Amino acid sequence: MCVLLVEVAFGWLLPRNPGRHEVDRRVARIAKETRASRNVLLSDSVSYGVLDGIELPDDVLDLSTNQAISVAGNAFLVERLFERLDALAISPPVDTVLYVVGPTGLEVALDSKRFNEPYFTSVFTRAAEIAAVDERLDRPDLVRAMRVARTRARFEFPSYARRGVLIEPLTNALRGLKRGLYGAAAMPTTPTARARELIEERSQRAVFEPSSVTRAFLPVLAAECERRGVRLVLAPPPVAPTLLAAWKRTGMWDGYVGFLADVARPHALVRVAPSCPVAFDTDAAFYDGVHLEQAAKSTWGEALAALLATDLDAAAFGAVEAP
Amino acid sequence: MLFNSLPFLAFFAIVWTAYWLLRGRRRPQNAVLLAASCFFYGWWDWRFLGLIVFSTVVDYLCGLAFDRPALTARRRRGLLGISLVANLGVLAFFKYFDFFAESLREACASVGVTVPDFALHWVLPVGISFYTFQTLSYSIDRYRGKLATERSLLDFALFVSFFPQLVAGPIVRAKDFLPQLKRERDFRWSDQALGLQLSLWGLFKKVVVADNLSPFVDSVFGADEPAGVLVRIAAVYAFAIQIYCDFSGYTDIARGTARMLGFDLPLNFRRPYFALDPSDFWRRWHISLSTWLRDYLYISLGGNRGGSRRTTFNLMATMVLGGLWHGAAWNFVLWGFYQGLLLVVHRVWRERRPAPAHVTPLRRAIAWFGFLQLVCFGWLLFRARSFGEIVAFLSPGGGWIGGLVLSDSIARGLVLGGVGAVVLFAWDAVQARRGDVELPIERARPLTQALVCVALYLAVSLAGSFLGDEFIYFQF
Repeated sequence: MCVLLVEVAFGWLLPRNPGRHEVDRRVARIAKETRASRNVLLSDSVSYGVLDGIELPDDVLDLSTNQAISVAGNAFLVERLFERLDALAISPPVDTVLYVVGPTGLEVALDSKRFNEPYFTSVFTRAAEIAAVDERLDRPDLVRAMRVARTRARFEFPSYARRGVLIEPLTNALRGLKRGLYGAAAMPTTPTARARELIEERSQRAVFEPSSVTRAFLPVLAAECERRGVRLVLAPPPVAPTLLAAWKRTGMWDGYVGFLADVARPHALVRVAPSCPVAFDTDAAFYDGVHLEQAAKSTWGEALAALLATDLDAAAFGAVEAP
Repeated sequence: MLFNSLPFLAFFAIVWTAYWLLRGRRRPQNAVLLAASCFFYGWWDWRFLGLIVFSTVVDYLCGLAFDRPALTARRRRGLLGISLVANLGVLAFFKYFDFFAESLREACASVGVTVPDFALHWVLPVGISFYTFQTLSYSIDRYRGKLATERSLLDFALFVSFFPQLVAGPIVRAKDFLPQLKRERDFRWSDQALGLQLSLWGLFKKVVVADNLSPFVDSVFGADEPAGVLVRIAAVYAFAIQIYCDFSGYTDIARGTARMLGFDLPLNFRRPYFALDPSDFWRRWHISLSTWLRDYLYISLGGNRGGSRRTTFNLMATMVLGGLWHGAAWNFVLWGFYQGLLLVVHRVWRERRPAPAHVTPLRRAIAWFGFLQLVCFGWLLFRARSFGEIVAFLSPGGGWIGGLVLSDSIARGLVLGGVGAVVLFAWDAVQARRGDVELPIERARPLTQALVCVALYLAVSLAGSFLGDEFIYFQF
């Protein structure tokens, strides 16, 4: 009887938020959004979390994730935000959506057994989202998993579905502690052997191959923004200089920017930024060749926060043109 | 079907309702439990139900045959032999064949002889080590004349396959369980309350402590490069807590659900990390296995009746085979050897320096702390997947805290699992002070009991990890 009372109280008083990871947090944040945003940030894992601990203006919404949700998940996040603000009759809901995503992020194809369930199929379980995946991707495995998760969610105990009430503050506190411990770290002067190895390995890539998920859902995101009069800026994250030079040499980078330009071309409000405003001059800033060391993360975070505080335009990232 | 899953909750709710609706009708109740047990086991892989049926039928028929008049000693031994060959044969075939095949191939390869791969690569049937030991105990007890023949196939089959303890114990003896199947089970609220509390406490150990610590342990043991020394030490301690909570948590849930059905399963863990020496540890850790090994292996080998050398051999053989029981891998053999060595050294030590009549608290504390380190070192041998991993783990390098990856889930798991472990050991300490009670709240007022249950429930729901981690002992 006591347990029943506790469950009823949870179901009644708290919004759903399983609190497992940033995607749950972002979804919960969207569900209680009550105002239009000037700028919204979407990202891949390079830029995920770089704004943590930085004070942002009230009209900036950080929806950065680690890209395990793929472009499809990011498109669904934005759609949920638009739907939420539609329901509150707020129009336009957002001025600019900035999606900072590199070539590697665009290759995510939702084929990770480890990440699909927690980050995608158990999060995006609305009928429209399942239908969109069913319609645009030939992936019965994903559709089945999303349907199972949708059914299972109906039987979840209210307290379990709202455990973010405990987990989220704890995670935030631990992140704060971690920032405190590592925050003062100086930029390393030389890259680790592992980072050098990975950069060398990735430098060989000559052809950019966006995943089928990206091909299907980046146009959806662009069209959705356009339809609502929201500007979408597609921008690259910082890239290790050796890797960037190699990719420019091999044609990989041109392929990436060209693909973004192709997506943007039919839409007047979609822009492509060919370069990142922050460039690190050493590979040592990237601990595994792609992701940023703590000191570099802070630098990129500060720069990104400053950009998001302005009336964001792709011009801020450099010339807006396709190669 | 995992205890920490929604399907099990639904399954148990249905079984419990059907079972108590048949109150006062013992045989239909047993039939419901047998059907439920088959469903429970078949949920993993229905094909392996055949193995349980085989084991059940062989031992049931052997049991009946023991009753034949004028059975000679030779024929009695023959009957026991049939049971041993059938049960150990199934176990050897499914669990150890590949291990010996691979070991032979590697040994041949090391001397330059190439042997083709003749391993079967079959899936290990879950719980096979538990139920084969359970049925074996029946046949051995029948052979020793310590037990009457079970004539009801229904009751015998239920003894072998009773779902709460089918896949990870405790290993129940026929003399303890069969009589419970013969009597009427009364519905008592006190049993329901205790069963619920035990189940919640077991769930707390499993999902709040063990499963929250699991990502950290896995990240250190599974790392390509050895982590820093302090990180490795922390991982070994974390694994010590994880395996205790995982396994004793399963046992608590098994005992709790059995209690809610009116059965009493034996205690399997009695605060093992409070042990002061190896003998004490094995009286507290996986009690149903250690007593099984003692009664059916160590004593059968001669126990301590053949002088010091023979006793040492018996102890080592028992522990090495006990190690091998845990898994078909050399690290389990090494772990068993290590545990045997601890027992032998302790025995020799005690022969030369008998335990004093009065032990000061300081000496107790030193003995406890020192022995805990030995136990934890043993868990390193247990957790590693190869000799190479053990050597790498013990090698210098990696700095002090190098390789420590504190992702959100690992950091959060360490905090939640750590807090859970503090609660657990405080709970164990209270239990130790109050004597051998099931739970410290057992004698508390109903309101206190209810509040503790709600707190446990909320801890499980809010702080538990539900990533679908199986119980570690399922693989054995």
